[in-house]
Amino acid sequence: MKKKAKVSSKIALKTPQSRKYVVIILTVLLGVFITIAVKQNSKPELLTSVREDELVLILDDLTNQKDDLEVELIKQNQILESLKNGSSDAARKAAQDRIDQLILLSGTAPVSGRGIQVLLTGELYSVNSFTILDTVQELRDAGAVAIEINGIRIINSTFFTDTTEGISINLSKVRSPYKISVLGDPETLATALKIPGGMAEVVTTSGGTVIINELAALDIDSSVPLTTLQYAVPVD
Amino acid sequence: MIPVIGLLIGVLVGIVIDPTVPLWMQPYLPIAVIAALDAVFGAIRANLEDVFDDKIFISSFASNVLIAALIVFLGDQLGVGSQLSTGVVVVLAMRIFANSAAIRRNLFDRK
Repeated sequence: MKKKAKVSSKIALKTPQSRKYVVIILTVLLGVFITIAVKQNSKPELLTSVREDELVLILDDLTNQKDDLEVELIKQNQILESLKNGSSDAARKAAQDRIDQLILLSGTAPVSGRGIQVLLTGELYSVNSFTILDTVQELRDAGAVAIEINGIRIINSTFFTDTTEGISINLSKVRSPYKISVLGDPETLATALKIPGGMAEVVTTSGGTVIINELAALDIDSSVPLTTLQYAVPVD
Repeated sequence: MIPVIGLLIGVLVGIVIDPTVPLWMQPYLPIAVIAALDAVFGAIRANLEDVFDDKIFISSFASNVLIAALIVFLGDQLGVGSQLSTGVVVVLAMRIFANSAAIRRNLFDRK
């Protein structure tokens, strides 16, 4: 279109009359160009007007995504295959791992491993059920997998209440000093209790004492009985 | 007056026949439009200053469009197409503004 305009202008430039026509033709062409450009711009398919280098970037992104997904697909396929073919072994191992995890979390069996031991002493105004609850929550946030307080295993349904002499855990009374055994990464757990404004600071400023020991080997012997499911059943 | 009518006819023709632009031409079209608009504004200004010459208009229209497309094409080959087309658009827009300012001044002076 542009070339045509150029060629015709060369011929037409000779007489003033034809030059006028060329001017008109050019303005008409411009009008057509403008409408085409506007229409093209308002088309939804954006990729047609994207430049080459931008297209390359988009393509690279998509290729990377595709590669990641392919790797993921291969992994998942391998798992699927091993579950199908290796029948008993792999499937049983996966199931056993899951059971171990659940035992750890539900507190139905004694466990052992690395962790910390915390000795908390204090009167009711410095150590009470709120302190203990905060401590348990802080420990859980720090990745505690099993918690025991004075021989009582703490699980998700454990509750703490205040009594006149101390606190009660699940309605059994315990008194200061409180010995808390926690399994998990010792450094992380200790840091969680010692952070500014954390449990240790609150207890010591209100007159109690906190002693934290990081241990390489720690046993939690207490457990809770397995409860029968009454109100809910697992969905397969 | 005739060019304005021509422009309107062109817009109508574009709407009615709805031509599809070949893919290789699509990046150049907006640039070509801006370049042509620059030529048109220059022509309006020249017309108001009574120095309009259709020879100059035709050649400036053609050369504006061709050079703008050439610069963008060159930029695409060098890998800086988007930057160069931005540059071309900026320069042409500045010229259009300068021309329209001259047109405005000229219209006021006439009164």
